[in-house]
Amino acid sequence: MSSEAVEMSSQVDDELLLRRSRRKAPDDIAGLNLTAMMDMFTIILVYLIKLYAQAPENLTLNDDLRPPASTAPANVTPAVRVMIAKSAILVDDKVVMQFTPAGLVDGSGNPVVGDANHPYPPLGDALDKRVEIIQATQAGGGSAFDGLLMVVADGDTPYQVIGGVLREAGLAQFTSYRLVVRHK
Amino acid sequence: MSGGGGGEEDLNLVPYLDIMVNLIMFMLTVTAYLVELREAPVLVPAYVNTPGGGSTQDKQKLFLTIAISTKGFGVLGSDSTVVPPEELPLDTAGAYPFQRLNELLRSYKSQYELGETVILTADGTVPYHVLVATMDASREDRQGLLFPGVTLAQAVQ
Repeated sequence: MSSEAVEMSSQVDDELLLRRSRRKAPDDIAGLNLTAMMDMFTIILVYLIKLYAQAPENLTLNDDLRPPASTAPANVTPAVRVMIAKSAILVDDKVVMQFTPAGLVDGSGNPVVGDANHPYPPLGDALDKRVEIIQATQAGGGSAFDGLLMVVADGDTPYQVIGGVLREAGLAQFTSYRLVVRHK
Repeated sequence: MSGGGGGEEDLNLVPYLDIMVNLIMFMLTVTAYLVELREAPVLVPAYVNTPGGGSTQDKQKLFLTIAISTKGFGVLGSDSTVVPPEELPLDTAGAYPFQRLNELLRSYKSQYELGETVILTADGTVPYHVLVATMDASREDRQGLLFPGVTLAQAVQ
């Protein structure tokens, strides 16, 4: 074979290869498979939703309400919730008393006047109402009043306030108290 | 992929993927701020005559009281002739000596026939986090449980 013939043959081969590659290229792009990515996203989403659902109490923790860390092992059980923040005391997310520079005021802004037996009357009233509602629900076939109270308090709350809250809860027929803490 | 209708047309997954990505980003952000919570059961003296209220101390012959003041801890036995009272002042840095309290309670637990409950009382100004840390120190140590039950007494004025 002459050198001219060899050169022509190699040119033909190159053109053939080029044509084949041109023909294959569109197929590669069209074949992008999103199913695997969708599967992965769905699994991650289901996992995250389950993780979120396992949180028994959705508490908004901030600088105003930061419970102390503890090694207490028990998981949180749902109950009537009293939150003692730096600025207010809440019963089931409803403000019943506020700590102001002028002193304690109730939800309407009136000063709170308590004594040794009833240190926080607005809190006592709010808890009494809550118990009445639970007992009315119980009479209508709902779950029974178990006397369980969950106390979520800020770490800097003075013990005097904690004691006052527990006293009011005791007077409102709550008999079992759970201090909610952050897991250490 | 013909416009006439008879051909195979791929389902457009891009909007679905957009939604999924947004949901995942939102859930990741939210779960990052989820705080794992636990609860510590406590007893308080019965204020009303209801079943289940009150403490279990009356069933227990010998028990301890831990008093928290602004100067440190005081540990008292219900019978001071059997359990000598002990004071644990704040350390040089002004911190509460939780480790020493833990060791003292272990020595009491091994020496005397004590139940599983202690009474905690505190000065009215003592912050709640000190109370919880004291409960942690009295609950258990590396050897096992100490006093998992806690009865909260009224604040000392």
